[in-house]
Order: sequence, then C-alpha cells, then structure tokens
Amino acid sequence: MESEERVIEINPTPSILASPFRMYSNISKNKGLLKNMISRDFKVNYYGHVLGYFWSLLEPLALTAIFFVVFVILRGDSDTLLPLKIMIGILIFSAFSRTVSGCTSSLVANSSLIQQVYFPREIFPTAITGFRFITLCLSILIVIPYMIFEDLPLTKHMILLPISMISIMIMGQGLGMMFASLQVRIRDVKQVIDLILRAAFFLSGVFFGAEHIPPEHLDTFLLNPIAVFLEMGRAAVLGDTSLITDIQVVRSIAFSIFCFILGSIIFVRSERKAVKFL
Amino acid sequence: MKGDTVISLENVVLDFPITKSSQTFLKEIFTRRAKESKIGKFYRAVDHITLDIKKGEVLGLIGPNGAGKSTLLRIIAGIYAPDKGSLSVKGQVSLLAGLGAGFQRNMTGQENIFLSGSIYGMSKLELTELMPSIVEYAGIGDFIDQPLRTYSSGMRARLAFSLTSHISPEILLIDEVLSVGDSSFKEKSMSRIMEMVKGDATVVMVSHNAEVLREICDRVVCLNNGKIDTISDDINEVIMRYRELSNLK
Repeated sequence: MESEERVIEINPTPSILASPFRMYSNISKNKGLLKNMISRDFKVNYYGHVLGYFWSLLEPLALTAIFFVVFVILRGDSDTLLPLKIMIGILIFSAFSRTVSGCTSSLVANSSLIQQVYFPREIFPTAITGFRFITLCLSILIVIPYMIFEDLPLTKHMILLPISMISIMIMGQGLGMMFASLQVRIRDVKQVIDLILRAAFFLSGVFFGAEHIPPEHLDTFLLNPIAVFLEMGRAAVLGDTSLITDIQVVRSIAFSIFCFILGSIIFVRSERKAVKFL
Repeated sequence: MKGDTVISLENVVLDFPITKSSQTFLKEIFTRRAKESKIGKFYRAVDHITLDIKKGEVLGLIGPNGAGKSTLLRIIAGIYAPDKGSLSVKGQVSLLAGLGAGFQRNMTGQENIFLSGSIYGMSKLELTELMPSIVEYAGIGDFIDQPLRTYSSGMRARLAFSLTSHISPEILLIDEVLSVGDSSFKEKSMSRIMEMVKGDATVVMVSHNAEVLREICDRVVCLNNGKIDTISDDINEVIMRYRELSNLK
C-alpha cells in the first residue's frame, strides 16, 4: 500500500531541459483524458449534422469541383492537376493555421475549466492539434479518387505526404504553445497571429505551386518551411519531387521539431504564472 | 497509517496580479506615467500560510469574503502554484468547486459523464462500472441518452452532483457546500457529502455553516486577509472569532 504513495511536489518551473520531458510524461499519463477531449471536439463540431464526419471529406470535394470549374473550364488552364495542387495546399495549410490559432487561445478558451480542476494544461493544445490532425487525415483522402480519375500512379514518394502532414502539425502546435500564455495577458496576440497566418497563406504558395516561382527565387521561396511542407504534399501525390531538395526537406523538418521543443519549453514554464491572469 | 501528514504548506504566498484595463495600459505607455501608477502591484491573496494536515483529518475553512479560502483550496489542488513557500501533497486530490466541469450542452448525459469524469481523473473503466449507480443516484432515467441542453437546470445539477459524489479521492477539497436540486435532493446530497467526509479520505472544506463544521470537522481554521487568524480543534472558539471578524467588517 505505502509503496504506491504518490507524492505531488508542486514545482512551478521545471528546468529548460526537463520541460519537454515533463510535457511528454504529463500527456502519456493522461491519454484517456486526451482522447476524450479530442472526441469532445468532434462531437461539438459535428453536432446536429446528418452527414457528420463526412463533411470533412465533402467540403474539399466540393471545393475541388469549384476550382476545376474556375481554373480549368472557365480560365482554360492547361494544367488539369492545378485544382488538386491547390486542394492539397488548402487542406494542409488550413489544418496548420487552425492549429496555431487554436493552440494560441487554448488557455483562454478553457479558462473556466482551468480554474475548476487541475490537470496538466498541455492537454489543451495537444487535443486541438490531435483533432485538427485527424480531420486533416480524413479530408486528405480526397486525393484518392482524384488520383484514380487522373490516372496518377502511386509512387514511393507517397511517404512524403504523412511526413509533411505530421511535421507541419508539430510546427503548428509548437508555435501556438509559444503564444498561449502571452495570449492570456494580452488578448491582442491572437489578432496579430491571425494576420501573420493570413500573410503566410499567400506567401507559402497555397494557391500556386513552386513551379510558378521564378527559378532564381525558388531557393528563397523554399526557405519558408510551410512552403516546403506544401510542396512535399504535392510531390507525394504527383510522384514528382524535382522541385524540392533533400536539404530543404530535412531543414524544414528540423525547424518544426525545434519549434515544438521551444514551444513546449515556453508553455510548460509559463502557464502556471499565466493562469493567474485568467 | 492515520496520523501521517499528507498536505503540508510552508510559508505559502500567492499574489494575484491587479489587471488593468487595456485602455489604461495604452495610456500609460503613451503618457509615460507608468512609474507612478500601479505597475507591478499585486494583491496578496494568501499570505505566509503554514499548515499541516494529517491523513484522515477533516479540516474546516472559514473566514470573511475575500479571506483567501477558495484560493487556498486551489493551491492545494494544484491550480495555482505558490509564489513563495513550499507545498507538498501526497495522494490523489479532487477539488469540488462548481459542478460539472467540462459539461457540454450538445453531448448526451452519458457522454458528459465520461468527459467530465476523465477531467476529474477517473478512468474509463471506473466510469463504466459506476455508470448505473451514477445514473440511478441522479434520478434522471432515460434522459441519460439525451443531449444535456434538454435537461432542466435541476436535472443538470443532479447529474453533476451525482458524478462528483462518485469520485473517491484520497484527498477531497470541497468549496462551499454544494446544495442543488429540490429539497429532497438537497437532503440526499448533504447526507452524501457527510458520507464522503466520514470515509477515510482527508477532507478540507470551506463552509459557513456552523452546524456542519461542528458535526464533522476535527479542526477549523479561520482565515482573514490571506493569513491564518485562528486555528483550533475547539470549533466553537473559531466560529466565535469568525463572527467577530465578520461583524468588524
């Protein structure tokens, strides 16, 4: 009996190096809660919908149809794959941007719960990221019918798609966790983040691929890890990786891991102080 | 092992920031009058509290409004980290403050029990086992499969109370006596709280009900302005002191 005794030493600020491990152990100890929080997001978001989760598939399908009409039929663009490229860009980017802004406001949005019960607050941003990631996985299935329709072969490059999705979500959660505590004190933070995300939408080539960038600027364009991740997703589906180099891929993945670790350090070390401002 | 210290606070201090409106904040930046204003000023909610609570003890907290009772409970529950001093808590803690943490109006009663229960730290297995008992105690029958928004406020409160009363932590923190529902349910819930308190759990409860305190507490602490004013196992003495303090205000 006595050996099972748990001693909770409440230590507000773990050391910088220990913070990511603290986050990892807190999350793994509360897997059941995390699962319930993610399923709460699904139930709340799709409540009262007859088609439920199918909407995450139907919406991109309808959007692709619209792009097809606009770009291929009306504008006569010869690239019939353009709607697919745009679609992949939009799906991955919007999952990313919703993760960033959701994680940024995760402490504020759950303020009443935070003041009522204690559980590791890392659960909030992680649940948001989990929910967005699962939704992204469901909606990205849209590429399958398109690939069959366009007769695109399945290549070994397909592995880049999950890699790019996971990397960009890790980066999104990291960025969001950096600002979550600041958002508690200064609510203007989210407005700024949303503006930056909108700028990133246009600068990361969501609506155009890297092939539209003049070759002399391509390297500069691909310094942006978001652009690299979107190109990775497109390259995976189209089976053509000629636009991105291995170095760019590795660099971007390393950057997203760096963001995540930095975000977890900032979050774990600052949330205890921040909740007093709620 | 009755008699071991399970909650130990040593010189615990907690400051709350005095938040200014954003307009004042901007004005200060532009007029550079920040120095003379209240920047960096804090409100001390808990002021050097040292307190040991032993296993199985039932400790009452009493005090005028704003004395720091709820804040103290929240510190023990881990919601706020003390700014100074040290705190150690041995065992699983549950804070009952407000009912139905995390309830969602568009989810069914059952889904809410699983969600809220896991927020309180219960596992899925435990909740599945307790489900029939929770539903029965709440007395809401078939409504358990309906979304929460269809519930009357009384039903909602009963479901929430029923869930919280099925939590059996080693340390139970109760903020004000939860009285919900119609009068018969109120009696039922009061006796349930007594049951929980009289079990082997360590209990810290905030209450202003002198009768309740006399009946169940081993020791009562009277807080005033974030400090311990009186602490004694002579409960009447503490209650007298509390009445004195409230009359002074």
